[in-house]
Amino acid sequence: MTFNRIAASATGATVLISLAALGKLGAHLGVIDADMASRLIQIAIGLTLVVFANGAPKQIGRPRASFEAEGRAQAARRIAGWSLTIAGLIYAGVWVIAPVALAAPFSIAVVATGLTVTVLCAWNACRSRSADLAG
Amino acid sequence: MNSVFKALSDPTRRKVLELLRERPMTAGELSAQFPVSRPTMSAHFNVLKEADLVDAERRGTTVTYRLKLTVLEDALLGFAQVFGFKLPSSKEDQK
Repeated sequence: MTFNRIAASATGATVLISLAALGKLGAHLGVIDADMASRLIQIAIGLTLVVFANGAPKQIGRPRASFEAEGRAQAARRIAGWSLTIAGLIYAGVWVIAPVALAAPFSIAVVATGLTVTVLCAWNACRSRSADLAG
Repeated sequence: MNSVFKALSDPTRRKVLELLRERPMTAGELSAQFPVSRPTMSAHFNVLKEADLVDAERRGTTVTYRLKLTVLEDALLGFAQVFGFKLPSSKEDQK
């Protein structure tokens, strides 16, 4: 299982690096313009985020101490998965249609929002657990 | 992916997944929510396990089920709930 995850991550990284190299080469040879090369790699980054975020809620790990704690962790994983998947889709979509000057800040803002939602959900799940222990 | 569609095609299995969305539940707790026999529920649990949509952990005589859905599977479950899609029942299901 761990080997599969490492292999999947290594494959993803190889694809991204190869795509970036091909884009750079294509731009250097004049096959595509520099903007297009940059867009391609950004779209690939967005789709990579979608792939990893899609699988995140399935990584359930070992069982928690109580069903309530498990329920909170499950809800946090679900919201994190959805928010990052949607962020990744918007990220890729923005790089398909928006002008580069707009796409760069907007796509970063979208992913930052997705990450913030993820961190807040995880924090909320941990805080509820602390409250349970104190009570 | 075929096993996922098969698992989501049945309203009872979809209801099981809906219940597990709240929190993990034991096989007994889940079975108590449905007017069907234990062996039938056990068959439903097996289909969900084969599709890798739930995780089953046995402690003594108790089996606890936990939800294990990707975002895509979660979205498919939502679609199935809204549109109530149902695959033609196979011979295996009719047994």
